[in-house]
Amino acid sequence: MLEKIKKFFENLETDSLEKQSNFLKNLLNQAKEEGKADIAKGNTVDDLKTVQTKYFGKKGLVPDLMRYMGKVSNKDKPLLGKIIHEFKTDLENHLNQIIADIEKAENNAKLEAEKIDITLPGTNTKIGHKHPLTIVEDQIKEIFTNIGYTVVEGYEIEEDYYNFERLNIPKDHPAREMQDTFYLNEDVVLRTHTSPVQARIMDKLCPTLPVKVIAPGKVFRRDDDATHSPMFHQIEGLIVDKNITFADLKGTLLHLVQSVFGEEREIRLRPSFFPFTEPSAEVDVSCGNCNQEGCRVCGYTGWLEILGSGMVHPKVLEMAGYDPKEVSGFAFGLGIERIAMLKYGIDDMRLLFDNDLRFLEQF
Amino acid sequence: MKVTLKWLEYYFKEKLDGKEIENILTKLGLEVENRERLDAKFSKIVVGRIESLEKHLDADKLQICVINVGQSENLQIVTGAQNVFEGMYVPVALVGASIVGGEISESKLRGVPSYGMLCSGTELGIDNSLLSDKEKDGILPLSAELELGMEVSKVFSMNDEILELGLTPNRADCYGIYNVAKEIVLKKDYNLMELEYLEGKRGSDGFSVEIKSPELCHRYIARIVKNVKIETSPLWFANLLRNVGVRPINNIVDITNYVMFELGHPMHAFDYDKLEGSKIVVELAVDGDNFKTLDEQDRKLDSDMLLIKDGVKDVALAGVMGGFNSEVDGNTKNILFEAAHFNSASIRRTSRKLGLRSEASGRFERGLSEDNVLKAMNRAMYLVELLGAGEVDELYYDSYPVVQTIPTIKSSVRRVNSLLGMDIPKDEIVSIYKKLKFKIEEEADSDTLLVTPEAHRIDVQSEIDLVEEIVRIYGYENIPATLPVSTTNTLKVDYNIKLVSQIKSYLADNGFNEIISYSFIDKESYKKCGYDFEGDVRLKVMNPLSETQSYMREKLLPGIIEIASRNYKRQRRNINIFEIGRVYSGTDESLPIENLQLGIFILENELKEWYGKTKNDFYNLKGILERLVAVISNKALRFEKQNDMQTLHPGRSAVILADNEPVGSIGEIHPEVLAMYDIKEKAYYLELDLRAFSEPKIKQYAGLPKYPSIERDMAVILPKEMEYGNIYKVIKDASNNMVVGFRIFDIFEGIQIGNNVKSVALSLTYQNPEKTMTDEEVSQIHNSIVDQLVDKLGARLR
Ligand SMILES: [Zn+2]
Repeated sequence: MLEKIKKFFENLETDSLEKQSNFLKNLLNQAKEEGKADIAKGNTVDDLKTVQTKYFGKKGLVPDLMRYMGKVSNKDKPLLGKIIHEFKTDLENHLNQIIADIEKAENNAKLEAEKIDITLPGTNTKIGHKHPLTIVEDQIKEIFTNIGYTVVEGYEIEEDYYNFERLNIPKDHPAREMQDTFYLNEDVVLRTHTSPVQARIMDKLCPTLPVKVIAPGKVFRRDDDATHSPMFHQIEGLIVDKNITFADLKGTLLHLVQSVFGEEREIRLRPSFFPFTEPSAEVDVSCGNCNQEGCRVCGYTGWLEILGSGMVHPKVLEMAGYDPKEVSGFAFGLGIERIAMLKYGIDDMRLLFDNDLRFLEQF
Repeated sequence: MKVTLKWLEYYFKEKLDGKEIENILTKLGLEVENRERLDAKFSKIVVGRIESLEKHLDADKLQICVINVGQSENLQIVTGAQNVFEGMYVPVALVGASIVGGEISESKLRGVPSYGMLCSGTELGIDNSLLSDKEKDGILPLSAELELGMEVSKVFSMNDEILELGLTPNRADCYGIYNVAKEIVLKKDYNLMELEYLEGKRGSDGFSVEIKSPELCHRYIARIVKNVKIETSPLWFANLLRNVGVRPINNIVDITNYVMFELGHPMHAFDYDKLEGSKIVVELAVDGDNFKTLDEQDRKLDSDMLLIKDGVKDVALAGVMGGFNSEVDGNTKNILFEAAHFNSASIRRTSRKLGLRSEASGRFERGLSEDNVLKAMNRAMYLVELLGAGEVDELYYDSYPVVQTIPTIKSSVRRVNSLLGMDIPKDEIVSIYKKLKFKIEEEADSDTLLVTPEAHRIDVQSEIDLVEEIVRIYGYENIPATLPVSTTNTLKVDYNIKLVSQIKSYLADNGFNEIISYSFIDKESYKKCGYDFEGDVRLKVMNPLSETQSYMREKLLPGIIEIASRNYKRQRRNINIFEIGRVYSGTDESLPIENLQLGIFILENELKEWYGKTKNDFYNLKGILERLVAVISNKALRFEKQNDMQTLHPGRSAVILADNEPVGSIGEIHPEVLAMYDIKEKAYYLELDLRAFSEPKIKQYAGLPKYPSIERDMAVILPKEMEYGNIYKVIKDASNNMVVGFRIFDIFEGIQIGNNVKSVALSLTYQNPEKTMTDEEVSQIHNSIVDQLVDKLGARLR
């Protein structure tokens, strides 16, 4: 082939390339086919490097052709350049493509050889779990912080004064019977509810408004059976401001219940009595187990009792220094155990304090 | 508090639906805790008469009875009971009947066929406490006046429904069923029967009542009934009582119980002839005196207890229980009835001290109306006449030193609505007060009403009580649901709350399970855990549920290890648990200090995994701690050996210091402690006082290093006992602040390097913040570090 090309250029007359160009193109096409045939014979990247040298190396065909650029007339130069360039790029692209293909295939083969058993378990895959009571507490805290409440905490060991008297439960009040109390001494109790936080926080904030807090924590009562634990957890909510209404309490509790149990659930308020709220309400959520048809879970009533609430009693506001004619408020307290049991379908309260890891790991 | 449908029907003269009554009471705030039919547990039990009896030939204890149940053919029934006799009327469970305990079918007893069963009271579901001794003993004897074949459930009026009310302390008036009936008509248009009373004349001839402690007894009324016939009450009357859980005794006692259940006001009956002195004196007891109550128990009195005396002797513990010496019995001829008002707190203290609680004391404790004392008396007298139990004297003797103040309360329509967030028209509010039978006067300003509640509603004292009445009767279901339109809360959240939450998440994410143990502790457990204190007596619970829960915890470990041990006993070996909670320490201030503490427990738990062996050890726990502290704080941790600990292994434990302040301890749990809890593997424990971390971590940008760092390794041979902490310190001191990274990557002991030595391989990273370090500069520091190790620690290069 080289010979033929050499001959062509020896015979080429000045300024006649245009007329002879088809002949040259033909020659180069043949050269290209030969090149492709060479490439096709190669199996490895190394083989193809040899082909590359043959055509593009210092002594290869393409540099050879380029040398004729100096030998043709100025008029023929652009055309010759174009023809050589075409030849060169075609062949080069083809060669690069094949090299890339082979490299890819070689890489794939290598990766295939490196395969591992992806079905073996991962290493060190211990996971831990928060206690279900923490999970429920966190959820309720979040619901209320999202609507502007601040989380506060109180003392677990509390003065009788805050646990009772500031909540309108003087000594000898029959309501003290409702909650059997642990005493450390005559004036110090294990708080029987989170409600003393109400008085503590109002003392701190009065006379500013609003008071808008949520207070979770441990509480204690002298009771121990399948449905009572001597220690359990409550969350107290309190808002005091101008123009707070009983309807606001209902709306807030509806928001709480639907956030915890689902939008389809309903609430029912029933008149009740707490010394530190009036009017007071027990709040039930519609049974999710039977859609209010009545079942074992809800005692065939369609409703599940979940919390106590009410409008802050004027005496409680007064004792904190607020004027009940100017401000009003509502408060509610719910048992976290109760909510957790309903939410997760736990049928025995003692499971929550037994701390069996087989139980805890389910949350 | 039990209310029966039949009792309510007696007032309404109308058949009631139990479910509907339950709904009405629930809406009114009288919670129905339980509702059940009395005859739910049996059926097909009829009245029969024993026509003849003969002994079973093959069984000493069995008798074969022929029973007439009012049908053409008599039944043969074999019974094991011994109290049967010819002509006795008995409850007969026919074949196919059900009783408490099962179904009745045809059977053979020692070869003799039996077509049914004779029943005891218990088998009819009648509580033993409601039966007299005679009735308790074997087959229940029935009245010979009954019709044969009649359903026994009808005899005892057991086709009745019982509603168990859980009354709130403010509604003591509803311990009277008539007051419950008054509530029902607030929601439903029943005709409520007016009660009939036998009024009398207030007198002072021949008898007197003297109240010496008017603050404890606001009112006392006595009335005498002569020529009484003590007998059993008529069945209808006895049945009403039995169905609310009271055992019928005799007509007189039954009348006092009936009035107590009807009006909520307890009464008492004395045998008038056993009283001396023609007077009643209400007076405090003398310390140390003894008094024998009706139940024949000797009671020790103190000067805080109120007594009823007859001028000569003590005759009753006021409001709690009558005296044995004035008890009504079969020979009683004349009765003195008592209706009184006693101070609720005083009654509560007395009954508490004596451990003596009765239906009466329970009612007095909750508070009663003085005004209703006379009503109760007059109602009882009416019943005496109705039952023909005796001749009621016209005179009654009434001492009323503290007259009930029934308030007149201002009620603003605007205020009702602004508190409720509603718009209830004035007319409707007025009509609610009218339903309640509260007296109303309208003020000129058209917004204010003057309201006077009924006497028995002692819970209604102020405007807010009226608001509650209005919304209760208007219906809680009619309250709209709105959200508060509120100003912004600027109260800042306590950082500790966030901290706890962050630590819990961190530990749970790192494979630890959170536990929650009781805040109470068994003081013995401190000893078991190796602590050298016994529990601060200032943290002792005065009235614990049990000895094992009698102290407030000062440490988390006892609770945590107990839980670990429980899980261990369930064959659990993967135990990584933590608790964050408060521990307490006593002070001389009024309240103890409450500190947040973190405790982490891990069991060694060596496991072969496909990728090699894993186990928990001291360094795992230490790593967790170091990472945790880096997450929550800027403080630098340091660990110091500590030797005087019985809780942790003396050679494998340390005090934790954060910025040089002790904040906790970490280590292998002492094997003797683990043995106390039957844990046979090694375990590790970390205790951290979270007070030290109650400031948020401060983050400050320091600029990126501008010049490259260079790593160099070294291996030195050191005495075996040489601690890493010392090596670290020497290197740091010698590094001229040019060592920015420091990693130990091998520790080796072996014959090759000699006895009592170890080889330690270290990788140091050098960097100068000012410029690029040359090789020579690095070598210079590196060599001086080696020199220092040689000089100070006796190291040699490997
Ligand atoms: Zn249900």
